[in-house]
Formats: sequence, structure tokens, C-alpha cells
Amino acid sequence: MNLLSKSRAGNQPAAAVPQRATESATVGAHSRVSNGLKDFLWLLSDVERGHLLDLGPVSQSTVSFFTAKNFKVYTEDVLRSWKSHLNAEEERMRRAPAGTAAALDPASLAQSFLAANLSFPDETFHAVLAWDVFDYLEGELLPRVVSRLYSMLRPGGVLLACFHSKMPEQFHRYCVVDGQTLDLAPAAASVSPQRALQNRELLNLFSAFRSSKTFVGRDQLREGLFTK
Amino acid sequence: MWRRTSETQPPLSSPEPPAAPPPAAFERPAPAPRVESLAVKTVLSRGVTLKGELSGREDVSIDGDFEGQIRVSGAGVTIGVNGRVTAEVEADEIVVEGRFDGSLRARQRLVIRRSGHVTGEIETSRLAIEDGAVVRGRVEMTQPGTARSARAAEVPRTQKEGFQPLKVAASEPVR
Repeated sequence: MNLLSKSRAGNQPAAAVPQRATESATVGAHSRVSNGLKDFLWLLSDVERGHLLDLGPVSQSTVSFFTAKNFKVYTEDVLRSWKSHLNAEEERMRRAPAGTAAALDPASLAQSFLAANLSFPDETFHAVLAWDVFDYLEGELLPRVVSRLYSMLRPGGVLLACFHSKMPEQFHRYCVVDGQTLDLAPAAASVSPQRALQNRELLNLFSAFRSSKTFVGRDQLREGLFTK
Repeated sequence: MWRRTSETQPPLSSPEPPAAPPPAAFERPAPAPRVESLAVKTVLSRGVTLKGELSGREDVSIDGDFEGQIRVSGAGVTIGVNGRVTAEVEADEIVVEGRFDGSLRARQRLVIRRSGHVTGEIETSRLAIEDGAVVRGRVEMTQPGTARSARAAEVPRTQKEGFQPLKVAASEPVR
């Protein structure tokens, strides 16, 4: 495990990274250079007609970027789905006659959510873009989602996620601009952030993965790259 | 005035007889008059519910509820802001402003407006997604004009099962 490593691995040939570095000069004020994305793409550079799952709000540029690389892109805004699930549960409780419906405990709520969402067969995806959704998932749901994503990844598949070092003040929609640049567009959050995960917690959470790396940007956003 | 009248009147004795109509064998049917303002679009208005199959060569606009299959050639399908569609849709151009659940196959272009909610499968050669649109499903880019029937067999079974709401497109029992 080298989760706490803050430097990029030096064994990657620069020429193999499929970026369009020159385009990064044109990006806007909310852009950031992403070493995690760079490595993510490098790990996928040999994949042909891969399957990628994007767990954030859909982004035109991200979809276009990966479909141009012959990926089949699956999008599932997991935070939005979670919010819908919570609303449906609230509605169920509200409609039930007084005293007849028991509120689901957090574990049961997480289970029922995963029974209806992220329901892909095992080993479907070569890659998952989780962005910062883990900072917004509740305690009981978080490890279950990570476990589900692990089973959905193919062996050797990679997951890219971002973790805030403190509670995020603004939710962002992550858009891939080019091979090393992300555009962070402010967006309405479906749910509130839960907590800023510490490195030790990340180690435990992703312990099933074969390898992991983190990159810390100037904005203190940690990018984690986890390989099954 | 006299001069003007004489100019408009035909000569009393024409040097040539009026041309006889050509034989029937060489007659061409007169082209149908083009009336631009009529019958260019099939519209399912708000408040209308329809189940079934739509096919044709004219634009289709749906602002009501539709369930079934839509297949148009050389034309487009628009799902309006109030539209709720659960269907397989295949058209040259598809615009989604309302809620869609099923499979979308746009031979030329697919546009999902900011008010659009799409759940299911998308196949298109050009895709535009406005900020704020919601897409939950698979997106695959194809070559312009790719036919659905030629591509259907390529979709692995596991992908078809990927999203539960694909009730219309799924040939297997919905999980």
C-alpha cells in the first residue's frame, strides 16, 4: 500500500500519457491540473473499447473525452440517486398510517439503496470516476458503495476519487477538459457533505484494492487512484 | 389606353395553332403542392397519453406521456419539457427536454437540454448535453447513420442488464 505517497511514480513513460497538454492553457478559472487523472489515463492507455462509469453529475466534456477514446461511458449520479432514495423513504413514512411504518435504520437504508442502484454485474468496468462523492456519502453507505464499486471493477481496473482535506463549502461538477486538466463547475449539491476522510480512514476503506496512490494539489484536494 | 388593350389581346389570326397537349404516355404527374405550414410534424400534446408504436418520415414532438416505440427516418423526435416517454426511440435527430426512460438511438445528433432527464441507453454519433441535464445510463458514440438493428447484437447481455429501468428495451426478464 502506498496510499500516503504524495509523489507520482517515476516509472511511467511520459510519452505514453495520452494528454493534450497544450489545451490546458485555454481552460477557465476553476480548472486544476490533475495528476490523478494523468495516471488514471496512463493506466487505461492499453484498454480498447473500455467501459467507464462516471458517478458524478453528467458532463458533456467528460463524456466526449472518453467516448472519443472509444470508451462506453456509463453515468450514474450517485448522490442524486441517494437523495431520491431518501426522499422516497420520507414519502413512504409520511404516507403510512401513524404507527404502522417503522423508519429504516441507516444500514437498512443503505442496503435498500444498493438494491436499486449501482446494480451492474461484477467486473463490468475498466474504470470508475468517483470524483468527490465519497465525502458526501453517509457512514453506513460509504463502505458498501466502495465494496460495490470494487466488485464492479474488472481485475486491473482503476478508480479515481477526490477527497477534501476539510469539509467542502461548495459542491462541484467535475469535467475532464483534457488529459491532465479538470474543470470544477459549481453546482447544487444533492446532499450535504458528511466528513473529510483522513488518510488512515482511506487506507481502511480501500484496503481491498491491490494498489493505491494519492496526489495532493495546491488546493489541498487529494486525488486517490485505486487499482483492483 | 387603346394601345395597351391591343397589346394584351391575342391576335385575331394566330400564325400557329395552339399547341396540342402531349400524348398521355408522356404526361408527368403534377407535383403535389407543398404546404409548409401543414402536416410537417406529429404532435402528442400535453395531457395526452399514448401507448404503441410510431413510425414514419416526419418530425415527432411529444409533450404528453408516451410508452412504446418510435422510429422515424429522415426526421427528428423532440421530447418536450412536459413529455414523459418510456420507449425505444430511433431517429436522425433527438432532442430531450423532458423525462425519458429507455433507449435513444440518434443517427445524427442527440441533444439533452438542461431540463432533460434521461435514463437508459444512448447511442449517437454526436451528443450535446447541457449543464443541469441528468443522464443515468450508458452512452456510446457510433458512426453517423449507424442502424440500430446492426448494432443491437453487439450489446453484451451484461450491459443490457446494467440499468433496471430499461423495461422496454430488455428482452430478458427485468431484474
